Order: sequence, then structure tokens, then C-alpha cells
Amino acid sequence: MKPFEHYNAKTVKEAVNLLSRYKGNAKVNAGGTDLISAMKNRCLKEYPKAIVNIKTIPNLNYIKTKGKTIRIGALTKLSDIAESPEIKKYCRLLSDAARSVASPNVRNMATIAGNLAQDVRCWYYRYPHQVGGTIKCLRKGGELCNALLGENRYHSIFGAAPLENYPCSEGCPAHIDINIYINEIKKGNIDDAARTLLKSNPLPAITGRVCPVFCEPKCNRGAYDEPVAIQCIERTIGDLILERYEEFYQQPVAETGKNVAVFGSGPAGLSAAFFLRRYGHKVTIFEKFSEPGGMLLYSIPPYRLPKDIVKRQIKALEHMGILFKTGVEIEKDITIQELKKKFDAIFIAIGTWESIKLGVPGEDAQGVYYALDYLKRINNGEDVGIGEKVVVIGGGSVAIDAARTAIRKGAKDVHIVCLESWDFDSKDRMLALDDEIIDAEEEGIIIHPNLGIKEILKAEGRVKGIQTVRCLSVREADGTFNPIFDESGPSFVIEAESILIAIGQRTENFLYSIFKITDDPSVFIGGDMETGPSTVIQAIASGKEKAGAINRFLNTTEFYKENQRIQYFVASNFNQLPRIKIQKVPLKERVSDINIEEILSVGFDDIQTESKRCFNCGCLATQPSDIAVALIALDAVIVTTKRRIKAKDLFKATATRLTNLEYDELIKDIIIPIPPIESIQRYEKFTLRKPIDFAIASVAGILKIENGICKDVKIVLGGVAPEPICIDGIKRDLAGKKIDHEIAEEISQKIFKSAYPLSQNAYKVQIAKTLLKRAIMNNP
Amino acid sequence: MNNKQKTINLKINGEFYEFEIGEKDWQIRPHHTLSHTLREILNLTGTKISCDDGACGACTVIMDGKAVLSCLILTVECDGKEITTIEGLKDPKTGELDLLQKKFIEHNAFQCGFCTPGMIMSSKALLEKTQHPTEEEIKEALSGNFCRCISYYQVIKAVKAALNERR
Ligand code: FES
Ligand code: FES
Repeated sequence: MKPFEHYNAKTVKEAVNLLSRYKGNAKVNAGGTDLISAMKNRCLKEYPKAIVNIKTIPNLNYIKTKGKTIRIGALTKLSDIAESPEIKKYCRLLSDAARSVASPNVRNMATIAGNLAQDVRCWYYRYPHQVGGTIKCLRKGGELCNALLGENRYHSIFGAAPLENYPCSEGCPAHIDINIYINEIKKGNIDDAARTLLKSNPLPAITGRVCPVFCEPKCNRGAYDEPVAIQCIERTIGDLILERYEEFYQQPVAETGKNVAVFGSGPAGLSAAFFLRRYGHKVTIFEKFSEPGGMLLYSIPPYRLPKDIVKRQIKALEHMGILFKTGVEIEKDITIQELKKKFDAIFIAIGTWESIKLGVPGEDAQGVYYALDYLKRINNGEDVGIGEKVVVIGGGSVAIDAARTAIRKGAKDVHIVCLESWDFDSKDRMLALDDEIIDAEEEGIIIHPNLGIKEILKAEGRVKGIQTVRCLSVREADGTFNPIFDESGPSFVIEAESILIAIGQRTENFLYSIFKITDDPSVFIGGDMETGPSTVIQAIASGKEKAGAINRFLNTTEFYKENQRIQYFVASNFNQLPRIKIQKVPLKERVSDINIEEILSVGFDDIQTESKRCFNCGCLATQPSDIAVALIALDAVIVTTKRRIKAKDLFKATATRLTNLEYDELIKDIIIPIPPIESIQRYEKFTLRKPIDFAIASVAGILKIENGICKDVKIVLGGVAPEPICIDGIKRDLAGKKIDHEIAEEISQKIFKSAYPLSQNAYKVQIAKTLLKRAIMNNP
Repeated sequence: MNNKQKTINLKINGEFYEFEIGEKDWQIRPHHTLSHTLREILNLTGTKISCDDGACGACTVIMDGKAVLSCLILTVECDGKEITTIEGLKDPKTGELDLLQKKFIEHNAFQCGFCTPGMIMSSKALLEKTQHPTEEEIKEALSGNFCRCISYYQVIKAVKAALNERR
């Protein structure tokens, strides 16, 4: 063992003070074998700086029966609990559980509190040197639980303890609880999946189509084969939500009486309106164009995002009671001062609609368009004659959208010219997404990377082509835009009838005054207008964040609370399944009409299969404490230095801890209500060998049976999940029934139907079932 | 508070010891286990270390009347304890072996003998505590002592023989 500071605490207070002084870097020694063994094996994530021995604290070693309760001091030895006549008489299952722990010599050292607070016994976590080096398991800062793909015969059959942060969800600007909704789909609970998705993304049918997908590159499965097709799943659920919008976009349950104006009906505005409405505020959205949707409708071409989807999305929001007023331009038709009189708060998210000029000679020629205007006009149903030979300038998504729109509108020869590089790993890589670039090339668009524009050539005032210049570098190492051209190098001409310029956009000039009023506390600004051109999901995230800020500003009592993330196990598993193949409309057909959606929808069966590819990353180690299982069955209360907590609420596992004890919290006392004397108590446990005896499966059961009829029952399973599992519905299923083999079989079938055994541990299901049946039947 | 303890008092095999806590060679360091102190400082090498992890029972000693595993006990946590090791079983004056030791020899209850001190200390604790243990109880009491030479059958016989003679 490596050295550490050591303290023999004389009082609980002294121990707690020491623990808080070390801020989590000190560990408690309460006897037993757990801590010293972990330190010898150097398997803790961090080696403790100090050990606080609490066995020296007097008066915590007792078993007292008083009235209808038994109290056990935290430092009572397991051997004393196993042998106590009172416990044998009143809480048989606890003495059986205590006797099942390790070997008698260990029980002579181990205390009840030490047993409850012990660390996991996972093989990967404990014995890294057996495989020749440290395994960076999830509990030690790694990304995946090794049991997912490797040896897992001793691990959980009911899923994994959840991570505190999921990489997919962290990657998403809106932090959608991706793992949770995918888990619901796995289980077939499509409606719950939809509700979870809507909690953080009000426009899933839209992001399911046009999101640049920040989550998938973070997916842990990517390191194994390919990431889960999250966007594909999102789209199908998003479409379902729109189909049944009346159910999912409901009026708030109560109105706050506050009135908020939202300017701009792009993704940021819609998102803010959705959340504000959920908070119960009255919301009016103003839009300068004739139809709401902003960029979604006027910039993103319909082959990527059908207009119908946007329209249905608006309808869904209207169903919540959000009002839309179109054809109203801010500062022109109504000023902010006027708005302030009518509304309690104002949110402005009017995007970036002014194209940036190229600034080269010839830009004034006839036939030069700005891509955003071009898209806006096309999407507005206008016919823009740009001829057959078109050059698009720019390397971002708008450039690609413009080029592909031009192809669909009859252009025959479309070129994209951009400063950026075509190489995947270059620091100067084009900003458009890889898939967009591939699609464009498939459709016959020719991309000319690393080229700048010297001049737009014209003849008689009309565009004739462009004169290019080689671009040597676009961005500096830190990402600053600073193009360097090879002025003396070769320069060539690309002929064109029209030019579409797509080198960026910003908020219209005359609106810049709006930014000046941002110190007005009732006016909020968000979306692209605040950040510069970004993505739909970033705008959604901004809208959500600002809605929260507005709500805090309005200071209404919050009746709408997002459910806190519930703790439950996620069905971790590994299935050898290939990623779903996303089907596209055949090339010829899709380029023939701008309104043909390029990517085909996927059905529920397919997304359910795809959802099974999700690892549901989490820790698959099981809770090792026998006493925990027993105390939950007995409905015990645990008294700590900070609170009194029901045993079942103390063992709430995440991927990095087994209980919710804080680092400076000590268990002091355990209070057990004595079960009715006639009740049958059982503790059943299956282990492989004696001294290291962690349960492969265990069952603690209390049953009340009169004349063969079950009156009451409580069952807790151990060794099969990251927490002891209390079988909630069992009383409903068993009470009033005659206890026989059939019912025991039926119950165990039912309970283990929801098991998710891993590749090598399905045998545990059989063992646990047998133990459960034995407990119910009260058979030896 | 936290006047850190500077000395440890132990009674081992009837003798009193006072150890200093510190970093010097002769001192007890916080991370020293009891098995280490017994073997390396006091030269009581009858107590064996095998797994050094609480799984085999080779390091069993009796502390305040109970069989415990000395490999997972920190010496700094033993202040005021009374400890008996295999060396403490014989009669200090006559050198006569303990009854259990004699019976182990008579019944050849070992082959290599590595687990034997642990086996005897676990059995001793049982016999001190229980007047007439059943065979089940003997097996249970020895269930944390592993023998790689499969001496278990002879061990049980030896313990039973000791019990018979004690009656
Ligand atoms: S050495 Fe102590 S139990 Fe094995
Ligand atoms: S006699 Fe060899 S280990 Fe037991």
C-alpha cells in the first residue's frame, strides 16, 4: 500500500470534520475488507489522501429492541447481527443476510455501515493487473463499461446505472436526453419517447431532417462500428408528434397572465414561443414575411425540409395557443417602444438576412445574385431565371443548397467555387457537411476548392464568368479567417450565365440599433441574430435558454416544472447490428423536382431495431451489499449525520457511485420496524465460493400467508442490477391468491420478462427466478 | 482536536508492546497491516500471508477473542487490543503445545502446513466461544480458511478430536 494520513476518530463529529476538511479525498474505514483491499489493489480512481478510522467511536455498536422497532448501531459487527437472538427472532432475513456475507473471520471485522457503503466488486474495476494493465473502466474516467463488449457473466441483467452526463446529449446544443428516449423506443414506449424528445426539442420533425447532427459523432458506438442513427430515429418520432400534434402540443394547464412578444418565427423564435407557452405565458409571434417559419421556410430548400412539415409544425404550435402575426416588420411596422406597452417581455430573434458582399469588381453585373435571396425567392414560389451555367461562390451549407436548388430548377452546369479545401482533415475544410458535399457531387455539381475570386467578368453589363485566383490558406491555426492568395500563380476563368454568392450573412444593417437596447431588462435577443449564422438546433437551444431567462424575469410561480431526470437503469446491451441504411430517392427522380424530399422516412419497426444498437452507456456492475437488500425488504430507515432516509432511497446508483451518501456523510443508526411476527421472512442467495461471495443473485422476501392465501408480500432482488430492485407490483399480483407452484412460476416469469441479460449472463435469470420461487413458496 | 495519535499499545501473546507511529524503520506506519507488523517487526512469522486480500484465511489471528484477518487490519487501528497468534498457543512456561496443535499433528491435518496456523486460530476461536460445536458449526467457522493441499478432512477430524478430549 502507498502511504496516507491516518486518523482514529473519537467522535462522529470529529470524523465528519475530517471528511469535510479533505473534501472527498479521505475515505472512511469502518472495518471489513473493502477499503484496504481496494487500496492494496490500487483500483480506486484516486488513491485517498487520508483514512479516517471510525471503529474507535464509542457507542455505535448496539442492537436494541424497543417497542416495535429494532435499532442497530452503525458499527455493529456483522457476526453480532448474524448471531443476535433478537434479530433471529424478529428479523430473520437480516440475520440470514448477515450470515451470508463472506467468511466468519470477515464478519468478525465487518460492520453493518461498512457493508452498506461498500464499493462495487466489478472484476474490471478491481483487478486490472490480471489482464496486464489498467483498464480504464467507466468508473475511472473511461467511456464504456468493459462488461458491455467483454466478459460480463457476473454483471447486471436489468441494465446499467446511468451516466451523469451522456456524450450524445452533451454533444447536442439543446442537450436532448437522447439516451432516455432511445431507451423508451427500445422498450416500445413510443409515446414516452416522444414526450422526452419534446422536453428539450420542440421541433423534432425539423431537426430530424436538417440538423447537422452534433450527437452522432460523440456516440460511443462509433468507436466500435458506426454511431447509432440518432437523427433517423428523431425524424420518425418527430413525424409521429406532428401527426398527433393535438396530443403533444397542448395548452398549458394554467395561465400566468403574462404576455410575451416574439419577433421572428425561425427556429429560435418558435422554440422560445413553445417553452414560454409551456410556462403558461401568452405568446404572440410576429413575422415579417407572409408566412411563419423564417429560415426554415425561406432558406432551407423543400427537398431537404418539405414546406408541409414547417406548416404542420406551425399549426401544432398554434394549437398550444400561440398567436402568429405575419407581414409585420420590426421597427418599420411596429417599434420596440410600442411593443413594450403591450407586452411584459419581448424576445427578438430575427436572424441574419443580409448577405455579405464579395467586394470584387463586377459584382454589380446583371446575373449576380445572393444565394439567400435566390433561395428566398424560389421558396416563395417565384421563378428566377438563372440560365443553365451557374457558378456558386462559397463553401458552406447555403452554397450547397443554392447549387442543388439550381440543378432542380433546370441548370445544367453548376459549379461551386470556394476558398476552402476539399480534404476532410484540413483546417480549411469546407464548412458544408460531408453528406451535403457528397450529395451535391452525386448530382453532378462540380466543386472547385482552394479558389478565390479576382473578378466577376462581364460583357455588356451581364455576367460572363469569373476570374479565379489560387487560395493558399483560409484560416489561421486558431481558426481566424485570413485568406492568403497566390496572386502571381495561375488564374483561370470559369464561364457562367449567373453567379450566386453565398459567403455569409448577417443581421440587416438598419436593425443594429436593436442591439443597443439589450440593456433593457424586458427585451431579449437570441438565435442567429445574437450568435451569427449557426444551425437550427443551436437556434432552438438559444430559444429555450432565452425562454427560461424571460420566465425568470417575469418571475411567475413556476407551475410547469420539467420532470427531473428520473433515475432508472438503462438497458445496456450490445447487439451485433448494422446501422440502418438511409434510403434516398433515386438521383434522376430527385433532381427533377425541388419538392421531392430526398431522404425517405423510416418506419417504427426500423427505428426500434436501430434503437437496439444504442449501448445505453452505463456501468453494469451490480450492487454487492447483502444487507442493503435485506434492509430494503424490511423497510428500514437509515439515519445518517445529515438525514433520515428510507433504505430504498439511499441506494440510488449512477455509473460512478452506488449510494447517494455524500463524502462527508456517515451512517449512524439503522431503524427497522419489526414485521408482523407471523410473517415469513426469507433471504436466498446464490454465490460461487465462500470468502469472495458476492451474490450472483439474491432475494429477500417477506410474506404474510393465511390458510395458504397470500395477504401481503414484499420482494427485493439483489445481485442482478446496480441497485437492489424492489418489486413494486408484486403485492397487486399476489395478494389474495393461493400460493402454489403455478402462481410462483407466473410471477417470476412476469418479473424477469423485463430483464436484459448481457451476452454471457442469461444464466443469472434462471438462478434469480429459482430463488424467487423458493422465497414465494417458502421452500428450503 | 485531531491530536494525532503518536503511540499504539498492544498486548500480543500475553506481552505488552508500545509502538511509535512514524516513518522510521522501527516505527509503525499508517499503511502497515497487522500481518506485516507481526511478521516484519516482531518476527512472529507463524502468521502467514497468502492472498493478502481477505480471501484465504492464512493470516488469521485472534483479536479480543475473535478470529480476524490480520492482512486487512491496519496496525494503527489496533490500539488497546489483545492479540493471540499461533506462537501464543503453547504454554509459555512449559512450552507444551495447545491441545488443538497436538491433535492437528496427530491427525496429520496438513500437508505443506501453510494454511495451518490460520486453520488452528479459527478453530481455537470457535472452541473458546462454543462449548460443543456441531460438525456443521466447525465447517462454518473454518469456511474462510483455504487449503491448497486439501487437508480439510483431517482438519475436521483434528478439531473433533480436540473437542472429544476436552469433554
Ligand atoms: S492473507 Fe489474509 S486472508 Fe489471505
Ligand atoms: S496444508 Fe498446504 S495449504 Fe493447507
